[in-house]
Amino acid sequence: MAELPDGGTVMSIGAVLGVAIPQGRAEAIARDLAVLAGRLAASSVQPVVEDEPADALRALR
Amino acid sequence: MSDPALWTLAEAAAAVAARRISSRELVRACLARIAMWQMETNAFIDLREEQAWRMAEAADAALEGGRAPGGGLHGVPLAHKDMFYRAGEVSTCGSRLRRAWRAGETATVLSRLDGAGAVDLGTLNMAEWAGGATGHNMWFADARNPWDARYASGGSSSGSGAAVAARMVFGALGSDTGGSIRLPASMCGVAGLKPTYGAVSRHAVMPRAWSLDVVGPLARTAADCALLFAAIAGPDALDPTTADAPVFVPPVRPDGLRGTVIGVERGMLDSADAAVRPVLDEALGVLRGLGATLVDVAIPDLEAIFDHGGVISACEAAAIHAQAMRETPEGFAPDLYQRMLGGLATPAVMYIQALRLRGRLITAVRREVFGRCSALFCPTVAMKVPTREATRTRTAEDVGRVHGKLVRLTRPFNMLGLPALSLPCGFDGDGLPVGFQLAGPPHAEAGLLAVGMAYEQEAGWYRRIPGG
Repeated sequence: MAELPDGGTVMSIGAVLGVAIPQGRAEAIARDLAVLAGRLAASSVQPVVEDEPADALRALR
Repeated sequence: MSDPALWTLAEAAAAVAARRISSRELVRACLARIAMWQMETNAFIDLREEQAWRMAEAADAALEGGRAPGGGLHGVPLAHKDMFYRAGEVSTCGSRLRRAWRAGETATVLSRLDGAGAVDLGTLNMAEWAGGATGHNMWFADARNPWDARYASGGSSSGSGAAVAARMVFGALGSDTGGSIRLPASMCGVAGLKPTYGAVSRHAVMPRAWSLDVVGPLARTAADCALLFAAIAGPDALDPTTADAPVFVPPVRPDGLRGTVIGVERGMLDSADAAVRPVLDEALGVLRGLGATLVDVAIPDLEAIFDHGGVISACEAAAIHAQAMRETPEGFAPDLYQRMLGGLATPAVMYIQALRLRGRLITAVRREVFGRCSALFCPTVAMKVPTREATRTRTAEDVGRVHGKLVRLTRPFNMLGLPALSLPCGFDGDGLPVGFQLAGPPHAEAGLLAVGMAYEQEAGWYRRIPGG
């Protein structure tokens, strides 16, 4: 398992985008993202190579 | 019933068409209701009386001259969430940053309503940038629930729900990215239709998350929603996502529901609090009594659908507002701003995976759920209507705690792009409305509305009016 992101990573992303993300909020975002990523990785439904965003419009026809 | 403002939209439109009442008389009746209810609900942001009188006079003149369009909205007063642009007019989007912003073009949906002869009474309150499920707004003050002003109206189309419920207007447009039509409809006790993604033009409509956003009506009944939807639905060259939208014809109310199979999403139903569950069970009893066959169904991968929908919503909202977040962070409510930071920091791959999975998730639900039923029943909100105080949010964590619960049963249908109708089905122990959803396969709005029309005629909850 790769090391989970920390507040510093999130603050760095904010800096790249020109938005200051306070440390406390950055740490909470990192925690939430790690939990979310864990749930999504454990889900039984995963994309395959051929899946693409436009499939949704076709599925709605 | 002597006050015409208390009629349904269908009744009002029929009376205008038959020249039993003028559009100006309907405007006068609605203005009287607004005078009575605006202080209590704060539903309007900008009441445009002069515009309404002008449109009503034109509608009456057209009728007298034999030039009235068909379609069932002629001369009927409406008002809309303050995010549908009208060229030259202010559209605040519920934001301090757009308090004086004037639109350069008119939304296709407003043009279509104008063409149908509807009267526009003004703009309605909403959550800031359509980013909240409760109806709070720190810039324009909260929209309040007409059944009890201490309670949340639901959002983000908060003013639409409150204005329709209080009979200030006959119908209103809202938008729905994670539940923003259905939540205020349920919490204020009116009907609200979230159409299929791509069924209604979003041209010149403020985006919240363009992959999920849909425009739809809130009205007193499903039959009224059908009239509004008929006027706004269909392809629009200015919004390419509407290319496959079929022409919608309002359904006739069926005589019972024999032969209709309704799936009950058991997990969603079982998630309902004890305070609202008996009301939902009673609604199922009414549907069964009308002849519908009820079968248990389960939406596959529901948690993943919810999670991926949240990722898309967060990332697109953050992208839309990234520049303003950088340049004018003080222009956002602190809790909204803090929450949107999460979207900025979400990895692009996570967002793209959510978009890539969408087609697969929709296909599975069409096969496994709508292969067995034509409509799916579930609660709109799994809890009692909360108070405004209990749902006031100050931090991003507050927002997640409060809003996450409210959108749990609505957001999945945005991720899936499927139509969902919320209808009132009774009241909780505090006297606040309870609603249920009927969801369907793509472009099944007519079928859902027909079931809703049969239900509401039998159950009659739409006849209950706040304060009366």
